[in-house]
Amino acid sequence: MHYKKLFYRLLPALLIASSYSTSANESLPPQEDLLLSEEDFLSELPVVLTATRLSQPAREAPAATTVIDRDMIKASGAREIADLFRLVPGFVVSHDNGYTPIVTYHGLSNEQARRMQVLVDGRSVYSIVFGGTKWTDLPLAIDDIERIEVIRGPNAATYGANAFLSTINIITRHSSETNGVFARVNVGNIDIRDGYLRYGDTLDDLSYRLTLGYNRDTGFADRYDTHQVRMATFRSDYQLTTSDTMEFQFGFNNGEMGVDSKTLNATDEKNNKNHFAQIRWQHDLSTDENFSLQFYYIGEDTAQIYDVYIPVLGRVVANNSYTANRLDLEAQHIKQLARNARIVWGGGIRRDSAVASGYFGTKATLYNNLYRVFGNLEWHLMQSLLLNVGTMLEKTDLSGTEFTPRIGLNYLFNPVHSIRLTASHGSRTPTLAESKSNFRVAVYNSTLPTLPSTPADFTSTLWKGNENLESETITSYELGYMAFLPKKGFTLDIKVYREELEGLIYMDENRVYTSTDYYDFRYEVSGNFGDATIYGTETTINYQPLQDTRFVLSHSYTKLNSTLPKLLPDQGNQTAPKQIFSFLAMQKFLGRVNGSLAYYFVSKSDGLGSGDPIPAIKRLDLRLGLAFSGRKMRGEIAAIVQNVLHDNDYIDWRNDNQFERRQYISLDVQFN
Amino acid sequence: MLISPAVKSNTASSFRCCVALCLLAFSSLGAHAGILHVTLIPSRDNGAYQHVIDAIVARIDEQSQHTIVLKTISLDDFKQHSIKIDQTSDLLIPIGIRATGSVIRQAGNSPILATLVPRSSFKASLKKRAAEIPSPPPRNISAILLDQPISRQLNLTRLLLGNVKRIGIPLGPDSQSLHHEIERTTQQLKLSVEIENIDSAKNLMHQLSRLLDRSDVLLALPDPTIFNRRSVRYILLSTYRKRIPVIGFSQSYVKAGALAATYSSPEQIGKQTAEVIIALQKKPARGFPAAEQPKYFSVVINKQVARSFGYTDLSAEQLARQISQLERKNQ
Repeated sequence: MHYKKLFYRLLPALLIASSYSTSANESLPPQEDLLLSEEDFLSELPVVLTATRLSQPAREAPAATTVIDRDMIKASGAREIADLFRLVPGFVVSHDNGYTPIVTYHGLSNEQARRMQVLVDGRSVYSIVFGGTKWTDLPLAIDDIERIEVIRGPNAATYGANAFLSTINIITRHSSETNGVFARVNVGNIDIRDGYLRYGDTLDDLSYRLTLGYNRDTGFADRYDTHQVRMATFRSDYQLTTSDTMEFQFGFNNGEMGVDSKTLNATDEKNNKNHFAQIRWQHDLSTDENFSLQFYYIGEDTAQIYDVYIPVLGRVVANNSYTANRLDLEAQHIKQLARNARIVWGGGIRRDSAVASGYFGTKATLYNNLYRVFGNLEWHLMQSLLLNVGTMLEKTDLSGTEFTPRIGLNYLFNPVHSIRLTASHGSRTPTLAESKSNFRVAVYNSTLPTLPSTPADFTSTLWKGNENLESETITSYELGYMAFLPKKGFTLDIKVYREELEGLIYMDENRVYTSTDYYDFRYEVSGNFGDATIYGTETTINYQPLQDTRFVLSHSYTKLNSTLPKLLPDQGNQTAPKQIFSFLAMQKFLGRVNGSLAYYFVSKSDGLGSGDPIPAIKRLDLRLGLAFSGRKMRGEIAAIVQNVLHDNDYIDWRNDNQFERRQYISLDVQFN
Repeated sequence: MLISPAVKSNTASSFRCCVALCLLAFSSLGAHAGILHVTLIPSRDNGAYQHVIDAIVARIDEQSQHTIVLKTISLDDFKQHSIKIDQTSDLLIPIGIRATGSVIRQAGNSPILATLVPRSSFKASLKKRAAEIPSPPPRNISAILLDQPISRQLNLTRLLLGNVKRIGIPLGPDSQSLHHEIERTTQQLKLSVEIENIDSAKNLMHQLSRLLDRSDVLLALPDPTIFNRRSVRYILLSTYRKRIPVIGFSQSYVKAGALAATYSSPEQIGKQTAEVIIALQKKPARGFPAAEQPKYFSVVINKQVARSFGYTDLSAEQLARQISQLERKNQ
C-alpha cells in the first residue's frame, strides 16, 4: 500500500522530467541535411570516452578480478544471483536454508558471510545489523544485471572497511539498454514459480525501466523454508547536459519466508521488507576531470516472533524482528593529472541505524556513524610499469579509526603477459549485532524443576555483543600473472597469495555464566577470538576457441591455518575447502540452440555457526535453450537441471539441507 | 562577367547552351592531347579542401611535364560562371559533396571527377540530377570516394579482435545498400556478422541496444542517421558500458572514443586524385575510370581506449601495413 502511494507520488515527477527532456531537445539544432557529408568524416567530435570515464583494465588492476558477464549468467542456469559466484575461484555458495544463500570466500564464515563487501551500482548492501548479504532480499532481478565484477582480495583502499576478503560489484544494465517489454517465467519442481516483467523506454535524453518480479519455491525437503518474494525496481538515467548525467533508482521487495528453529523445535513465518532509493549525479569538469555525488538510502524490515511452548521450560518468546536504515552520501573526484597519472579521491559519510528490541534488549534506536576519505593514484612509471597506491581513512562509532593502505605494481612485459604484485591492508568493523546485541528470550510459566527458586516468568540472555571489539584486520600479499590473447579469445589469470587475519570476531564461543542470573542460560559474548593465515592459488581461464564455443574454468587451492578455538565440539577448523573447481562450457548449435554445462567440485570442509562438516560436493548443472524470434520479438525457452548426477544429493551447509535435483523450465520473451 | 543575365536566370536555357558548347569539348581528353586543363572546385576554402588541393598540386608538380594545367576556383564562382568554366576545362574536379552536387547539376559535358565525397551522397547527387534535369548527364562522371572498402574495415576488426567475435553492424538508409557486400565479404573472411537495420533516428537507441545484445564489437559504417554528432555520445557510452569496442570510420570517431579506424586523410585522397588525373592525361585511351575507393589509408588507434580494453603496444602503422598486405594478397 505504502509503496503504491509512493509510486503514484513519484509518477508526476517522472512525467515532468520526461516532458522537460523533450523541451530541452527542441533547443538542439535540427539535423541539417541527412545527406552524408565529408564533414561527417572530417569534423571534430566531442571526446566521449574521456580519460576519467575509462576503467582500469584487468591487466592494470592491483587485484585479481573475475567478471561474470551476461552470457555466463544465462549459461549458468542460475535462478538466484548468489549461485553465480560458484564460477569465481575460491568462492563457495551454500544455503543456511532454501532462501538464505551463504556466499563465502576463504572460509572462516558462519551463516552470515560478513567478510565481503557487496555493492549494487555502488550501493552497499552489506546488511545493517548482522553484516553479510541477504541475497534473496535484494530488490534486484537477475535479468537486469549487466555484469558482476568480483575483486578477490582486500580492497579497502577503494571500497572501505568490509571490503575485507573480497568485494562483489554488481552493475545493473543502463536503462537505455532495456527498452521494450521483457518477460520471464520459470516453473519447476520444489514449486519453483518465478515471474518477471520489465518495461523500459528511451526518450531522447531520458531513459527508464520498471521491473516487477515474483519468486517462490519450497526450499529443501524436510525443512520449513518456503519463500515467496515480490519486488519492484525502477531505474532512470537522464542526460542533463552534455557534461551532466543523473541516475535515479528505487526499489522494494517484500516476502514471506518459513522459519524453523532446531533449538526451539518450532516453525514460524517471517516477513521481510527491503527498500532503497539512490541518486547519483555525475559531472564532467573537463575531459580530464570528473566529479560525482551519490546519495542512497536502504531499509531492512524483518518481522518474526517465536512464541512456543517448550516442555519443562515453559512458554518461550523470542523476538527476531528488526528495522534498520542506512543513509549514505559519497563524493568522488577523478582527475587525470598527467598523461601517465590519474587520481581518484573522495569522501563519504554514512549513518546506520537499527531498532531491534529482541536483539538489542532495548527499544531505543542504535546508531553507527561512519566517516571516510579515500584516494588512489594510478601512475604509469613507464609504458609497461604501473603503480597503484591507495588508502582509506575511516572512522566508525563502533571501532574507531582505521587506516587501510594498498600498494600494487603491475608490469606488462608485452601485449600478452603481465604480472602484478600487491600488498594491502584491510579491516572489518564490527557489526551492530556483534557490538551491541543483548539477545534475550522471555520465558513465561516456567516449570523448571531443577531450580525451584526460578520465578514463573523471567528473561534470559542468549548472546551478547561486546562494545570493546576491535576491527578485524587483514594483511594480504598477492602475486598475479595474466595472459591476455584477445584474438585467440583466451585469458588466464593466476594468483598466489598469503593473507594474515587478526582479531577475528565470533560470538559462538565463550559461554558465560553470570552468578546473579543463576537461572540464566549460558550465553555467548562476541569477541576478537582468533587469527588465521591463509595461503593458496587461484586460477581462471576464459577461452572462446570458436565463435559458438566458450569455456570458463576456475580452480582454487586454499590452505587455512587458524588459531580459532573449536567453536563447537563437532566443528573442525578447515572451514575453507582445499580444492574448489568450476567449469562452465557454452555451445551454440545451429544458430539457435544454446547448450551449456556447469560442473562444480568443492572438497570437504567444516562449518561454523549453523554449518556442519560437509563431505566433498560434486554438482553438474545442464541447460538447453531454444531461441526463437519474430518480427518484433525474440525469446528463448530453456530447460535447466541442477545437480543432474544420479544419486548425488549433497549436504548444503548443514546436515538437514539435502540438495536434491532441481529442474525448471524458463521462458523469456523480449518485445521491442 | 562573361555570362549573360539570361543564363543566370534561366537554368533550362543555360543548360541547353551548355550542352551545345560542351558537345564541342566532349572529346576533350582526346582532342587536347598534350595539355589537360583541370579545374578544382572545393566546397569551401578551408582546411581539408585546401589539403586535397595541395596534395594534388604537389603530386602533379612531381611529374613536372607541364601537360596538366590546374586551376582552382571557388564554388560560388563556379555557380556563376559554370558555362565558361565548363568550356575551358577538360576535367572538373569538385572537392566535397556540396561542390559535387552543384557541379553535377550545372556542368555541361566536361568529364567530372568528384573527390573527397562519401559514396552514398555521390550516388544521391547523380540520382537527384537525373530526377531534376531531363537531359542525360555528362557521360564521364566518376569519383574518388571517402568511404573505406568494407573488407578493409573488416580486416582491421579481425586483426585487432580475431575471428571469433560477433561483429555488429548497424545499417541505416544510407548504408543499407552495403548489405550484400557485407555478407559476401564476411563469408569470404569467415567472420560472423550481426546486422541490424536502423530505419530512423527515432528508433536508433532501441534498435542499437538490440544489436549490442548480440555483438562483441561494433563496426561503424558511415551513415548520418546512425553516426552523427548527436548520437556519438550515446553510442560510445553504451558500447563501453558493455565493454564492446567500436571500430569507427574516421579519425574523429576514434578521438571521441572508438577503439580504432581505417581512414583516408584529405592528403591521401588528394594524392589518389592526382594519380587519376595523371593517368587520364597520359593514357586517355584507357577511358574514364569507375568510382574508386581510397587507395591510400591510415589506421588510427585511441591508445587510452585500447589500454582500457587491455591492448598495449598496438601499432597503427603496423596494422596498416598488415591490412595492405592482406589486400594485395586478395587481388
